[in-house]
Amino acid sequence: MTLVNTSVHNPWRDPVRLWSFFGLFSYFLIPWQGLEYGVFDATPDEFFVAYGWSSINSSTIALAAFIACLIRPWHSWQKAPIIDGTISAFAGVAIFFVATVTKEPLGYGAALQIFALGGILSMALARRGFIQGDPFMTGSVLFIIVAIAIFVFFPVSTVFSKVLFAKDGSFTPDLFFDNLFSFGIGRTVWNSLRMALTVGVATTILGLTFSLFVTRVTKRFHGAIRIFSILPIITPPFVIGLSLILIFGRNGSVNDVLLMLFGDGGIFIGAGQDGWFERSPYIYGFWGIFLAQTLSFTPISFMLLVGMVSSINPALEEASLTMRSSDWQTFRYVTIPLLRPGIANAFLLAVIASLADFGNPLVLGGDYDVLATEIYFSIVGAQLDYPRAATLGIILLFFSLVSFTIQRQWIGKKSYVTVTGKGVGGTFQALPRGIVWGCTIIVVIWVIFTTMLYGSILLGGFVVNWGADYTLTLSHYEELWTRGFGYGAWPSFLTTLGFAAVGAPLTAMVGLLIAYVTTRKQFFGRNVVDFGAMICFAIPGTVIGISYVIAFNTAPILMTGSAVIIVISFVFRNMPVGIRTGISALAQIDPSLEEASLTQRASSIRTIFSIVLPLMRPALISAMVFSFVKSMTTVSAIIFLVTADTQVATTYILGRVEDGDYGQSISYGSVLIVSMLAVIILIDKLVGKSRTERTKV
Amino acid sequence: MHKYFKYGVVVAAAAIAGSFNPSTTNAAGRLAIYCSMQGDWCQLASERFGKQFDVKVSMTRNGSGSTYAKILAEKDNPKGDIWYGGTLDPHSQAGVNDLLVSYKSPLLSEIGKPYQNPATSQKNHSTGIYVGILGFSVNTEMLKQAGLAMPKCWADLTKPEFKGHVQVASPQSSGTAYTATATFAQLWGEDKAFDYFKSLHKNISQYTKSGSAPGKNAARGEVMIGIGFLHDHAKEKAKGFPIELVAPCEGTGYEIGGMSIIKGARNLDNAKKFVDWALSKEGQEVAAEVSAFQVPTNVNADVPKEAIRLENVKLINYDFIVYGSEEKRKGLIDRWVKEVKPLER
Repeated sequence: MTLVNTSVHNPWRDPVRLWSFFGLFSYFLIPWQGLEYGVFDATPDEFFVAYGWSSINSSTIALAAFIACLIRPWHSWQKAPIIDGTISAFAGVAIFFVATVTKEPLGYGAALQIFALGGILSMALARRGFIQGDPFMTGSVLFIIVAIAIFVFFPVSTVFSKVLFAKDGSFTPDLFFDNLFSFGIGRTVWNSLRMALTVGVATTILGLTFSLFVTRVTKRFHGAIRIFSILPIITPPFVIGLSLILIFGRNGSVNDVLLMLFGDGGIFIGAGQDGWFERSPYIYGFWGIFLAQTLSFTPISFMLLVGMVSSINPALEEASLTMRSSDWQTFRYVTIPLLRPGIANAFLLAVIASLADFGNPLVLGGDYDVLATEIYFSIVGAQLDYPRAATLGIILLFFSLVSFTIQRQWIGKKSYVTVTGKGVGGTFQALPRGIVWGCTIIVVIWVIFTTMLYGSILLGGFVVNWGADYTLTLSHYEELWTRGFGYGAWPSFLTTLGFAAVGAPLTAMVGLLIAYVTTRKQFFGRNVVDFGAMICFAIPGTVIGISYVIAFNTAPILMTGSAVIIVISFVFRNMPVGIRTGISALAQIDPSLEEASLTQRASSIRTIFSIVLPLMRPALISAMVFSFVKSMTTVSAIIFLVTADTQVATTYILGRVEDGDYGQSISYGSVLIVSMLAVIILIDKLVGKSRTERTKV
Repeated sequence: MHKYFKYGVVVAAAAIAGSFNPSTTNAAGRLAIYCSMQGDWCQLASERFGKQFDVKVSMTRNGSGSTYAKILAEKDNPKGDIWYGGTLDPHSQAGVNDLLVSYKSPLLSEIGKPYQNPATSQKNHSTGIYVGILGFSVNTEMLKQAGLAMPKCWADLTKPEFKGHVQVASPQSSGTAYTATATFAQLWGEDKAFDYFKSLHKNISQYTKSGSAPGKNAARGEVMIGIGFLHDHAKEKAKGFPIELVAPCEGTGYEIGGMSIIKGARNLDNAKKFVDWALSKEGQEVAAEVSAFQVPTNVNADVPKEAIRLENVKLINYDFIVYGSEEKRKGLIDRWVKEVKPLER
């Protein structure tokens, strides 16, 4: 192992000093404390008080640390990094401790200066040989660990402590077991599991089908299929539920048509005759949720699998066929096994997503109770019961932990590398006929189904009242969009766009960075990082929301009511998809490509930007697109976090749904759908196709 | 307008910087409302009050359960000033848990006696701003198709011909359904109430999560009979759905919409001003403008013609103090979960 050469000719250009200078700079310029009324509305007095130098407070610790590291009398000592590291680590911990005691809300200045302290610490650690002496990677790992600790473990543990401690603070573990064995929980758990496994199987099969179809069967409908498969995730959860009711409800279109054809005196029955069709019962319950979740999560599987399917090296299939296996054998024993990590990931994600899904069971669940809605109703229902909510949350977490472990074991340690530095030749071979036909039929059914669904959403916004009054009207749209930017749907719409636009690149970058360090680098706490990120995905948004409110409503990290907390909740909730996509993509890229770059003395930053990122472009794009649309359609995680100034589209729609205003909800929904579709197409056009993506010519 | 200018440019970075910390306010001349009524009502009332008193109002709408959870979570550093609307019970619990401020508005004299200080704590934490009557709605088209007679009483709903045709929310998740449970308990005594629930259970098609869902489902023909608050149903009816509202013959319970000032409110004076305004005749008549058909508690306020008038209904003497308490509540809900929910249908 060689240490990276960090000795610089001019000692004042040592990175530690540069970081210290940066820290001092922000100490004097940027307010240390958070401003109660925001940067733009604060008075000069409030600004003055918020500056670290206006009084002695926690920022004085940072000041001392920076001055020490800038003067650095120990610069030429052999053990200088140990001193740097100790000072910065100690300062960071001390700041949090002092701020907690004195109840100082930390603001932008504090964030920047803690970042600078992190810079010094990673420099020091790298000089001691941490992660092959690579300061950038060390810094990234440090950043990830701190971020996950603050924004995942800390809030989640706050909520779970509710079940372990009684109101007066005494330790009461028996409360958990009381709740665990209390009445009705067993059935809820079984309901959730049954749903998750069924949905997992269905979405994985469908996702694989679509991936095969668009890459291997035909390229003709590529664009249309892509749009159709993406539609369900760009649709706010309530809207899918509502349109399913409009179509399959007892009074919905399907029932109406069937009744007209086969009901009493129907067209195929004859006037006056008894028909053999009666209104089918209710869609609410298992099948309603199943349908809605399958529609919502299939695109996730599709996005995960399509990158994988299109970057399989055709030479492997060619080799199999050359050695006289049949096309079925090739498909079964070469293609599918190569897709195993993708399939496992897709299944796992669908299971976890189904367990945590909240919007669909809320609208369509009827009395089919699942864990996620039960948690929600334990908090906001007829009885506020944190211990029960926390108990259910722990059960849910347990199951996602189990699926996480299973998935890890299953992928195993086999090599799935198909993108190597070696030249690749060949084109894709035809799939077995049966597969081609199967894919085509499923895709056609899906297309018809989705057309109906979205047709009803679009039309629903233009009729007075679906189910009662089908007169065409524009009033829903006028009410929402023509009363000026300060009224109707505009404020929430623009706010949502802003949040999603900031959140998406952050999510993708953090997610892929985590994927990179956890798959490519060995360091202490690797699995903890991976697991922490998974927790965010596994826990239902409502619990995340309430835990953020409880954890971040007091100093030192006071963020409730701000826009930042909403963006952060987006980032940490959607990040797992970025990580999973990244891991799948990285599993296919031969590490020797990066090693080649590193041995030629390119820095790790340069390697990432010129080798890894270009190869991972499809993954990067799909992670970004996914987190953008996901942010725009999230509701459960932020329902407790929004305020009047940070109202977002989904909470606005939920309000309309609760008021029974289906017309306005659905018309807002269609505007959201159309605008997100536009964004996706735009991104596709701008970023273009990656060179690693190969489709049948 | 200027407030949304920065969003208009969609320079999202600015949006974030602009509100890193709690929303943009200068303590004087501001009011943060947590509102638990229908959205347009909240919106209109906030606009009206803000304009009239030159106060910059920020309003957050959330169900009463969510709002209670939020206020409880924020108790060390309250962000809201006033909790406007929503069923009384969570207000009561908030009062008992010391999350509210006592305030006796000078306008209390105009408010009906039972609604002046209805909350469990009995410390003038909350005031009633409207009354909503429990009942059920019948989809007349479905009733005609099935050739059944119009149900008029609670007892009618347990008749075998209505099997699979009745919906009510689950008391576990809905305050509306809890009001129904408490109403039955006060009508007939607890044991008989559960006997009634057990026989009603055979006719239930599904227990919904939300209290307003059965009414909406009845309006849209998803189910024939929906139990819930009649003002919700009146709104559906006004939209043109074929339903008829029934205030049951045995007598029925009702909900009070609460209004409370949150403890630690940063704009206490404005919050008091708001309470006075919301109790006044004009403050209460806002409801009818957004077709909210609850009955106003101010005796001088006009009752909308779509609303069920209190004098035409046999109301029980609903005991909000006993049935609003946490123990009673938990007891009744647990009993429902154990005795009624698992039964075969």
